[in-house]
Amino acid sequence: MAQLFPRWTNYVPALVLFGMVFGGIGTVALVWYYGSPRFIEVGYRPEQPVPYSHKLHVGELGLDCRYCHASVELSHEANIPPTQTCMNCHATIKPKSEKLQLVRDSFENDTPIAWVRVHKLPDYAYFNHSVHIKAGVGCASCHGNVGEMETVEVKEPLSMGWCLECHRNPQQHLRPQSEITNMTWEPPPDHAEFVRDVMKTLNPPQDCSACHR
Amino acid sequence: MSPLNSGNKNESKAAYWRSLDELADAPEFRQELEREFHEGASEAPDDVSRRQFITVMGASVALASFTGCRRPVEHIVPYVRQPEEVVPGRALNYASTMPLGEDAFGVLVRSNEGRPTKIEGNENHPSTRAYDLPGQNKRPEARGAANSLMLASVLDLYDPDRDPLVQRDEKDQAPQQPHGEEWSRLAEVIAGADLGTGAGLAVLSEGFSSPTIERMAKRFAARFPEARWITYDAISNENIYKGTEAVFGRPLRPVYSFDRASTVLALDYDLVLGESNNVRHAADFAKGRHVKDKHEDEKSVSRLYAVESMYTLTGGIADHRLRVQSSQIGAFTATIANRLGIKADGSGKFDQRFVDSVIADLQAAAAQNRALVVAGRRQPAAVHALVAAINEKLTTADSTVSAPRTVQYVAVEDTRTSSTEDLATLVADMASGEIKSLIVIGGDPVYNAPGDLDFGDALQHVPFSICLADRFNETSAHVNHFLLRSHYLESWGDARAYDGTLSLIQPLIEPLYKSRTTAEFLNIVSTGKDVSGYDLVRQTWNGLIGAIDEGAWRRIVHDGVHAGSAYKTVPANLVTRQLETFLADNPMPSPATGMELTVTASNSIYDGRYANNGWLQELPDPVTKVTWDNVAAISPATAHKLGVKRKGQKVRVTAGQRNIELPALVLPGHADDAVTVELGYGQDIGRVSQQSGRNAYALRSSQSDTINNVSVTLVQGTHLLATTQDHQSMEGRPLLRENTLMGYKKSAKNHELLPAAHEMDEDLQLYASHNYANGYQWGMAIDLNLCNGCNACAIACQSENNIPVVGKVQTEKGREMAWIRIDRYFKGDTDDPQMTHQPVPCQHCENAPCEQVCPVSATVHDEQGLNVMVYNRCIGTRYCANNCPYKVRRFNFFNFTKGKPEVHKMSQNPEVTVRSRGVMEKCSFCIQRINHAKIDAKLDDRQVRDGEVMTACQQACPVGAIVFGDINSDEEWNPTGTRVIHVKGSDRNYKMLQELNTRPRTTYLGKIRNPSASLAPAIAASDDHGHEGH
Repeated sequence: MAQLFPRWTNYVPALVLFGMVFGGIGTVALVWYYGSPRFIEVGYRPEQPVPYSHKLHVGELGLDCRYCHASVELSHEANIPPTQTCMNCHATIKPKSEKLQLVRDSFENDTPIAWVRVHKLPDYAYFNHSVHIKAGVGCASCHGNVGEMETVEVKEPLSMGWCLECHRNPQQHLRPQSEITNMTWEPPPDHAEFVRDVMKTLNPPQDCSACHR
Repeated sequence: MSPLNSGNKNESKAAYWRSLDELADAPEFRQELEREFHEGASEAPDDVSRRQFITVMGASVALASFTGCRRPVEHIVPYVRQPEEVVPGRALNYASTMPLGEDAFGVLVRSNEGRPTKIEGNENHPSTRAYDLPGQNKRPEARGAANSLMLASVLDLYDPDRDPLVQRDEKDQAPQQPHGEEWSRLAEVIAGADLGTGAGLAVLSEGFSSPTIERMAKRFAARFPEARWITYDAISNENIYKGTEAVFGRPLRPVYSFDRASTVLALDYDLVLGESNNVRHAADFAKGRHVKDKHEDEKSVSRLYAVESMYTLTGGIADHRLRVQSSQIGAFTATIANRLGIKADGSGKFDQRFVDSVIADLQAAAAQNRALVVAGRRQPAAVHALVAAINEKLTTADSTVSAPRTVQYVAVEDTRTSSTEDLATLVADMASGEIKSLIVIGGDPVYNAPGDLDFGDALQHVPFSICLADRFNETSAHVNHFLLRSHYLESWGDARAYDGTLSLIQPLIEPLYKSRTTAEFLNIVSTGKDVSGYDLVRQTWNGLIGAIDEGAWRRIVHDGVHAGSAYKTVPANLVTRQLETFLADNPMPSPATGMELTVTASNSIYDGRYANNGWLQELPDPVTKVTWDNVAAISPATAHKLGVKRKGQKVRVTAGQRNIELPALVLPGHADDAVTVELGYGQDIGRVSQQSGRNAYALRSSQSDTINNVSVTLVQGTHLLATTQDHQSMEGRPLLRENTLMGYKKSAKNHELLPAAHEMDEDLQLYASHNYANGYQWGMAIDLNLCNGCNACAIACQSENNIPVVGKVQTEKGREMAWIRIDRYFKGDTDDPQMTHQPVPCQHCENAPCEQVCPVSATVHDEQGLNVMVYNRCIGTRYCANNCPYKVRRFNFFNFTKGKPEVHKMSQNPEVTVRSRGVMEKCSFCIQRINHAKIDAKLDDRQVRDGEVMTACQQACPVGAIVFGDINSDEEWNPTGTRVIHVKGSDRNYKMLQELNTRPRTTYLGKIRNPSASLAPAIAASDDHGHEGH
């Protein structure tokens, strides 16, 4: 009887097996990388209704973060400023600017501005800004150097693994209270000593109950 | 099962039982218990077939994968001008007042981003001051307490049925015909009606106690001098005023001091739930009841006698209870009066030893001004007259006794009280055509007028009618014009508390729909001007307390009360001659021949005004444990006579020409030959209320709440009753432990609480133990001696923790979600048992059985000793619930929150995750409150103070039965100890199911009853039994 299948078909099972193994590994690798918050979240940079530039206000003019995000030391939320805060200055500075039309309209008509959320945590994660500030974690540790961003974008993955990394080893993210909002702070040579002091009383929780309720 | 456990089981089985089925150990009951889940518990709801389910699921999976392609854009909408006191993300609390008929309760309302989400009691308000166990070193600051109605009232604000203008059909979203009126048209409508000077005009208002409404009512009377004003409430203190008028010459309101009474005789009076001022009364009673330790002076613990027909919570906490028909209460009161030397007619044979004991205790207490007799509002005026006379008799004339009286009288102001007689006259005049126009303010008379009056029919003879109602109800459906009234959380107003204290109502939110308050409405009707409630209230208060500066006014707004404005007490001058003539004209009700019917306010939904509140509908009645229904409660002997064999068998109750069919419920301890039916159910309108029960107002008579000679007959059919009592059974182990005061004082060790429990070697460990030595270690103690089973904790928990309502069918299947359940136990004779309640939240075991069986570590321990539930990890195996010996875990069989009306979302607490389908949940010790307190402490560089974290159940509890805090007794950490450490140090402290070595963080303090030595107490009998067993 003649051979039904040509000779090369002998390699098919091996090829299929090879394909399955590497295909499987490849799929996992792709999902692992492209599905991870590091890929999906980082770099998200939505356009805002008002082209507010952090680069100008923070980086060049040197506004303190807390002038606008005033509740960051008091509440779990670092608030988006009310229109009033913008108008404190822009009633007199560039009062005719076209870019600020929406802000002026909002203030006059009492209609709020719908900003687009950039940093989003899931609803079941209860992150608290105030306690992190208190512990000495700088703004830039999670938000990156906002002073260089024309439009704010996500710089860190904000995933649970990323949170826990710091909760386990917070040392390199701690800084003195005076430097919290400093976007370009670098640890001084005696930083290790400072950290040793702080860590005596600091005990970042690693239990589920710390963030999930 | 080990011999140790089975021995235990038999021993306690004789003593405690949760229901008659359990006692009888019927095969059906065992079968139900031994099933892994209730019958049908793993099936989809009736209206979704499997095929439909797969279709729907398939579609949603497809949709889900599409939405996954695009990142959802979320907006942040800040204020334009941020109010000064607002810090986004931090809740604010505002004092206000909840009016309820003549009552007013002080509330503290939490506002999250402008939404009222949680009600607490206001500690500054005399009606809501809680009792707290005195701590060893320190007392926490005063605490405000609440009852279930106050706590649930926040959900009423978000009732979708309140929307008067647009009622959308759920399915096709097409707007229907609006059935409400525009407020702007009201003045026009009134002008068009040509009311003249009010001839032929009548106002039917619900009872109130408010200076501003009273001022507006006077303004109305000035504008329409010929109009009539009738006040009607289904549940009111009408008879009490009539009684005091008979003996004092004018209607006076009694104000009781239960804390000062050492002997209390409650005649059909439920101090916990049924009567006025119940939060304060429960707290005061607990104060007189507190047992510190073994060395407690016997004389400092009060004794409560209850005489009643229906088993109430007061009967449950009573030391002695006598069950008699409601119609015999009068005869019993006369018997007591006669023994005390007051002449009164009334015959009845009562247990002589009981009467002797009551008289002896009352007289002994009277010498120190510490005796108190109270009668329920259902009882006729004659009983109240006689009770007032008895209380005067029991007030000592000895001027050397400095103790103040246990009952004071006040003359009420700014208050309108219900008069059923007036209503009867009004209905007759409406029917005869004499009334041309009718204005109904609040209430729902078409639904809740006594059945013999037929208000609905009479209303059709009135050509012009307006109704101001809290939602579209039966009255609104039958009038010409329906207008929506503002909820108290969205309006300015005022009220007088039970003791007369001026209380302020301030809004937390703009009215959700276009609505006005009663005062604003009356002002528009009288003057045609739409003046804001705030201005009306300010003007009234300027007249009341004089012109005050802005600072003083702000103080009042902040506190919610004007301190020191209670009514002055009136010297009570008894007019004995008047009493005698009154009693001659109004004889005590003659004891029922045949069957007696009593209608009573529902323990859950009051008179029906809260019937559209899902939380309250699903709240098990504290005595019958029935949800979503009213029942005909009868005693086992009566059930036998009627042939009622199963739960929910239908009976027809016929009073005169009217009858309703109700499911029967056999209630041990109910008086024989009597049936009790709760009011408030069976409404025709309301998306929640129309699903539940039968309307018992149809049976009610305008003469009396007790009707003799009714006929009760068994009819075909069974009604599905969702009772929660047999759910989560704990197999009769010694869970509830108690003793008599005498027995307790004599006992050597705490395990002489009864029934005895087996001690366990605490060091037995299978797995490596967690280290619980450092930092905060949270724990709870529940004092069963103080707990009265009032259900406030259950609603507080529901509100705080976003616990969904699952509906009657799901409840019946055992899928109720309550994180804290309140078990009811009976003990002793099936005809006349003792009743005790035990709240059971998650026990937060240190050796938690649930944790060991979870395949995905969805329930784990944290370093503070909390048993934490991680929803995102949970895959829904339900192993944990099966392995939990306390049966406190709840499973989301469906996404119960999905499909709820949009406005409902506003009631939810943003600090707590809303759970989805397929995950387990349970009490978290209010982890959100713990985290908040810890963060606040951290920001202030300090440790969390004792009492700073209160769980929702603890904060609501009027009697301070729940104590929560840090149990880490390390001297360096807690140098002065904490209240919970102190309370747990009591020799009454015990762990539930200690023999399982679960090491629960929640412990109980055994109940202590204080029976009279002369009445051989039931508990003393089991005393010997307990020792033998041990």
